[in-house]
Amino acid sequence: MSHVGTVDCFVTDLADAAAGGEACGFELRQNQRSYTWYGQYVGDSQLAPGHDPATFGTCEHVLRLKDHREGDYEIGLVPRVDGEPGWELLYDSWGPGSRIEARAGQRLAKLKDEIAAAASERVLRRQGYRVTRTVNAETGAIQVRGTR
Amino acid sequence: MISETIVIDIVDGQAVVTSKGFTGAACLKATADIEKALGHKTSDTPTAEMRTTAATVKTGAGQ
Repeated sequence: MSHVGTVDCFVTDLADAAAGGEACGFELRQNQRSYTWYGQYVGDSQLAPGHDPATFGTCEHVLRLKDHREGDYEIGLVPRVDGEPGWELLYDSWGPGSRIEARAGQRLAKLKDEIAAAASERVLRRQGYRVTRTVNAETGAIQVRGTR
Repeated sequence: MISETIVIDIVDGQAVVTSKGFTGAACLKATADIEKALGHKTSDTPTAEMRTTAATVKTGAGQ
């Protein structure tokens, strides 16, 4: 039998966040409870669904640029608003946030893909699969394949 | 022996998990851990192969 499942990706294991972050030039700082951003929500961007601007800047863990310099913004790992285990990634794209997007992609797409690939590889290896990864040079899409 | 294969295609924060070569509903069990590790499952679609196999099983059970 065969089937196809579609999954919206979140961080469910900090090891995946560390590995995905490493691939994009970030370091995971566990238990850092705040992330750097503009500091005030001025209503000039669309809010992530379910998030309260009053909580912006607070988090459970942080991804920081490995070549962090003064004034850089950071990415916060905040609990999922749907109540499921794991974290969502929040950051401020304004101003210094462009340095984050230069590494992690717009809306953190590249970082999220790397985290998902790390999670896939981790679980496949645990289940005894031989794992290979390929990247589409044109689209950046990642394919992880497990065979046994 | 047919090998079991799981393929995860990832782009823009969304993953499509495809399983091939499994016996019975084992594919659902095999991919469950991966889907759980990735996040929130939004859809699950049997492929033509799975539908064909399922139909065969159902016919056999009625005989």
